[in-house]
Amino acid sequence: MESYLVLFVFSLVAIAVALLVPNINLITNRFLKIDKKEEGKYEPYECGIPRIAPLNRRYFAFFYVLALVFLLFDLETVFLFPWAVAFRKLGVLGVVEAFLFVGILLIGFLYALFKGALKWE
Amino acid sequence: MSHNFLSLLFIVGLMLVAVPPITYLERKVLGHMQQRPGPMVVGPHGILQPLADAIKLIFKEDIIPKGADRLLFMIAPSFSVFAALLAASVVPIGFINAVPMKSALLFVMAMSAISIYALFLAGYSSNDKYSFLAGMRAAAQVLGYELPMGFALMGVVILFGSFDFREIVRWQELHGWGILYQPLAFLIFLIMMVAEVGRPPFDLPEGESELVGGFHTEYSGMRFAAFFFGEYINIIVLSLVVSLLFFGGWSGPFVDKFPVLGVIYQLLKAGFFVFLTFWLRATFPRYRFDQMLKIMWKVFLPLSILNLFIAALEAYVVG
Repeated sequence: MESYLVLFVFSLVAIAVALLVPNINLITNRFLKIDKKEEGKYEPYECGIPRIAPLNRRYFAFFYVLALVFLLFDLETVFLFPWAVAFRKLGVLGVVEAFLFVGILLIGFLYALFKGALKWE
Repeated sequence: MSHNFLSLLFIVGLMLVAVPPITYLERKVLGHMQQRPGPMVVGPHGILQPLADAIKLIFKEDIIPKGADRLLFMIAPSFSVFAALLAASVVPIGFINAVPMKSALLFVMAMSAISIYALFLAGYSSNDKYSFLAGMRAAAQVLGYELPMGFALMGVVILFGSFDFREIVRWQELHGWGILYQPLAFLIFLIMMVAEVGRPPFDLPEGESELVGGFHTEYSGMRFAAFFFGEYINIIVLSLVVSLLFFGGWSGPFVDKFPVLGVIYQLLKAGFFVFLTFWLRATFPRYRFDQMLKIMWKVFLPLSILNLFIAALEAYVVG
């Protein structure tokens, strides 16, 4: 219990450090003479030329399929971690059950594989 | 209680103090591997280079690009530092153990996994095409490395029967180093570690030769540096984890009499893996994006599941 208290106090300290370090420039910039009239430097970078078209926040549909497959397997790892810790206590039955579980998900993985979910197009 | 806070101070201090020399060492090692001297101008053999860099970064103008999501843009670097510091806090170094946690390994994994949000948020909020592509790549990289890493660690956990680093090291003192039992898990974990911290050959979110600077294209000053603080702290933390899981952590000769030796052993073991990341950077070309996903899903994921069976067998034999 005590260790979690230490962790909690530390997380507050870490938030303070994490907020301070990236924002030091806000403090130092008060002492510098900064030319704010130069508009060009506030433009997002694009090869040194004025921007041709605005940013289009779209990306390949492939990733959404991949993310779905990933979610499935990530849940599997969440279920299996408690099993891994208690491996020795569970005996033979627990092991067989867990590997059956992995086996079923492997079938799912093979299905996704042959359906072409992992194929780049 | 006071012991805890003192160790915390030590570990966090070590992490923050170690980052500038490590950046110097990296440039020096890379330089000599490429037959050039590396930084030479500032101080003897360029040893004051990190100091010069720090002064330069602190006095840079803080620029937020037009059209950027200001809140996310400002939070992203903080997020990187925060997650890295929290991950560092639970990792024991020798007898110095700030937060003796039962599920420390899980906590380190969780914290280093969420540090990728920093890259994604930075890329997404910058309103820049290169940053956006890099942010998406960072997100997709998680989809690649997270599973093999999880399964590789699961094999290790089956063998050791605990998430607690102290018990893991105690097990290895009795039975020998973890790498003797789990060489496959070691190999997979090492590669996934490189992918996790986004170092070459898996530095897709940065990709300075194809995406300008990747996710930090639009960042300047200490905001820019904060990403590298996070990245290097993550490298140190994961190197320490490798030394704990596979190389006996602080165990070694005469540690019983002089506990300080344990700290030195562990830092040496971890230091080798920090060096290894520099070495990889000098040796391998960058993976292409689809190649990275393909190798993660079709090679390392099946291998790490195979390793689960190996670990289960070993747990029966070793007991």
